[in-house]
Amino acid sequence: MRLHWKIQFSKVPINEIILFREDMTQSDKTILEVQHLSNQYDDQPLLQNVSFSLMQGEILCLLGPSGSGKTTLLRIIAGLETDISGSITFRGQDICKIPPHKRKFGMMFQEYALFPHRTVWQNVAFGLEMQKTGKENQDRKIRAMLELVRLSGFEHRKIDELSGGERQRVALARSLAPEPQLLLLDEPLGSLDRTLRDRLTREIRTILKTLNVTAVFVTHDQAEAFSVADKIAVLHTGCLQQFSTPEKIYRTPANKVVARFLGFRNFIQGELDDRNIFRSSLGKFELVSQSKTNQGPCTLLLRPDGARLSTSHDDSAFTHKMSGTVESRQFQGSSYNMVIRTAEYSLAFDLPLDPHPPVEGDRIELALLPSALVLMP
Amino acid sequence: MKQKNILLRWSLFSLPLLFLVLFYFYPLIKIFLLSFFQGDDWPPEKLSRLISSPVYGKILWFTTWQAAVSTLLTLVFALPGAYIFARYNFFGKSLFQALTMVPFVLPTVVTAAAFRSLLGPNGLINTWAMTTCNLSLPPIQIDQTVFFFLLAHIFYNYTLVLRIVGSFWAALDPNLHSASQMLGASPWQTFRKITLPLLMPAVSSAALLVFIFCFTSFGVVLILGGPSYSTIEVEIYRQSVQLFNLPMAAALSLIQIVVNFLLMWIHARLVAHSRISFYADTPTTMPIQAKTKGQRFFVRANLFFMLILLITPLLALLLRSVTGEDGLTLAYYRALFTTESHSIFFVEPLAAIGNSVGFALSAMTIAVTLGLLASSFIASEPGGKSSLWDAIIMLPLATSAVTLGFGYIISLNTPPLNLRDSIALVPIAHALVAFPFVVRCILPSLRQIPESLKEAASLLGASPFKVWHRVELPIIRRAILVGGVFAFSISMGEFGASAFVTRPHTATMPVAIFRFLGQPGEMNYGQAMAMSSILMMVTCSVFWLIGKRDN
Repeated sequence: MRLHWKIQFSKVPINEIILFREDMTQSDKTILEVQHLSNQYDDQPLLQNVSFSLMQGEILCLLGPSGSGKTTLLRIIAGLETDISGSITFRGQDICKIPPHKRKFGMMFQEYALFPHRTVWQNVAFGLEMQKTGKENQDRKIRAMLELVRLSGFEHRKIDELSGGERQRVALARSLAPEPQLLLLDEPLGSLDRTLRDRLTREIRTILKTLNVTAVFVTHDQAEAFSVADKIAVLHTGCLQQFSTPEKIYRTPANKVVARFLGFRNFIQGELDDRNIFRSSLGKFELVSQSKTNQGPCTLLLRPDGARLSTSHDDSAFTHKMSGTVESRQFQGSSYNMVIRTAEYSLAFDLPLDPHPPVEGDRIELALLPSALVLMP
Repeated sequence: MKQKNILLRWSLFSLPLLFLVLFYFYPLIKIFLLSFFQGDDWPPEKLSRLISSPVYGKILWFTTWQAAVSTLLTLVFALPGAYIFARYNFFGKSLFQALTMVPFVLPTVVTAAAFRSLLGPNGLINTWAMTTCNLSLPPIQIDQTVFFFLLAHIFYNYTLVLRIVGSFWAALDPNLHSASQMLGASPWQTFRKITLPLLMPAVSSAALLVFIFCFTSFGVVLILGGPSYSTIEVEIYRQSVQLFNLPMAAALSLIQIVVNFLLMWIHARLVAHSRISFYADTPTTMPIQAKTKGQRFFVRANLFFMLILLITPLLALLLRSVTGEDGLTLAYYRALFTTESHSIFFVEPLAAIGNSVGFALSAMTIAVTLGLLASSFIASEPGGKSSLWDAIIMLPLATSAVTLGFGYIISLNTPPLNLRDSIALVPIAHALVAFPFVVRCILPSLRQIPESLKEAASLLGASPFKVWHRVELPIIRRAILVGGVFAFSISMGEFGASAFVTRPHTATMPVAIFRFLGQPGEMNYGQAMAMSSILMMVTCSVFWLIGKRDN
């Protein structure tokens, strides 16, 4: 897929699209810093003490269920919501008092908010018109932008003549054309169907990376977040739950809220002793690479991807054993979703197609990967 | 099946169509014939002589510019109001919304009387200023000037802009505004390049309607402007009733109809494809609480302006009706119910109230029935044809009531249509004026019912009649109610046509008020105010009662 894209982009004169600023090429520099941000609406807190920072060129995903405050956070960064406490600095400058139209940020809206009285060309041109750059320069940029999002030939179409995917690309081109210092995307794929979403997610990431644009992307879909983001901030009821790379968030969710949001359900109650041994009704598990701070009663997460059929596996990595009866077995294409009944719990795991797992009602022996056992605080 | 359907729909539509032909097109054609095919002159010569006459050129010019200025002023004052109604929540919003409606449904005669009682030479402000500051002359002298009726036009049409533009504005995606800001446009640039162009259909629809109403303004100009100002409408009245120069009146009517036809045609094309409505069905975006100091100030300033513009004249009217030379008195009200006059113009006040309510109820029944039939037909008619029928039905709205009344006088006087002395003529005239309003209320709601809803109902076993009765009718119930209230109020306040078609014994309240105002003396003026107050209270309470039942 990536190769395919490289071929696509080799045709595009990238230098013409974005005139790289000097600071844009320095990649290890903090560009956006949010500190102790809180905001409320009608005395209902929407965001509570949120802090994080973002590097130049990174794509940050704000991930959370609806009502978690992710869109509010995005609109605050944009300057569209102003009733806040805390500080937001961009390139070292406090931007809280700067109105949205002077921030030079770009934003892609849910449902796109394309101007219905303007054509595709005029929509993309709007931001450039505001900058009052020369007409020739403008035309060149618009043409290059439309080529980048593969909409050449659509210049004079009206917005209501476009399909969902085409609108999405006009919106992307429009927000990128004025070369924003920071691009904000509010559920940009929310209204599209699954297949189109998967394709466009990859497209967006490729385009953003090609142009080295720093971006904040809001979504409630974890799969979308994993495939587009460099960093993910998981939000729940206005609080920042975890801020890390996609991989770390998946491997070691910081708490039950994050784990539940990722769809994990296997929580085991037990006791941890000073030698890092976790005891529960499932048996004894020796935990590796966990901090020793939470001794005593605690909760252990068994990630659904960390199990194999014990009988078939002599793989030394899967060291912990457990057993139960198969409550249900659901075929999912690339794997089986197994619900396994033990004395106390009903646990869900994803098992590979081969070796063939037992059917409902049968007994099953599982081997667990130690790294898939995560201690919850 | 399909054949039967078409037959049914046309037979439904035939009733409103027949009504229009008999009571609209026939009188108009009569006016046209009378104007140009009487005597030996060729029509074009007559018309050119009329246009070249400086007096009538002046009237035409005056009518046009006062309408244009009125429209512009109304837009300027009402657009900020439309914005705050579309975007903000504030205390007493629904109450304010109901209050802004009152002036529009008030009879022009009452509007005129209300402004006179506030700002006229005997008005509240002048009387108060003269007594407190010991002035010998009233400080505000705008009676009989153009400013007086421009002000009244703003008062009268404010709510039209507020409603049409406000509901349209509320349906605009607020993210468009944000998107423009994020692309670097300042608030002003955003308004000019995004918001205003998107509002244009609603703004021009509202502006056209306001222009049409001001262009055909009658009662307000006649009472507040005095003899030195004359719109075409006023001149038609003078020529026909005072000077008995019927051909001249007919020629003027024709000019007015042609201009309004053109405007209405533009309007019909404008509203054909947009969701412009006289009232908001459902708000599509959530209004927000005003947060910053600037926003709060903006909302409050607008509400304050609305109070001053819309409420003070009405309060002044009420106050004036109970204020005599020696302070508070109910003498005018007592006089209304006891005084006898032997003048032939005398209208028994109690009878006038009875006449008005009776006529209004029958006019409402006719207008709602016809409006419902016509809307059902137009809504089911495909694309281009539907806007043609829509435009035809809107025509009476564009034709002045005075012209219609005049048309009735000259056309409905021979058998089999000898209605000239019939009591039915008044409600028919009122229904014709109210009918387009009813259609404008019902049609948008009917068009918004998704086809799938009707299909679902018929798949569940409902016959076409049952679908209409159990699905469509309940959904448009509120629209019908609003249309009915419009029809009732329009009939209560209708003056132009009533001035022609009422007989001495069937005079309505606006006619009675006009006659009181036309006679000298403190007592007559006071009685006019008292009668206006009663009319205002009757209209408001009907409005309020129906609104209450609706909730």
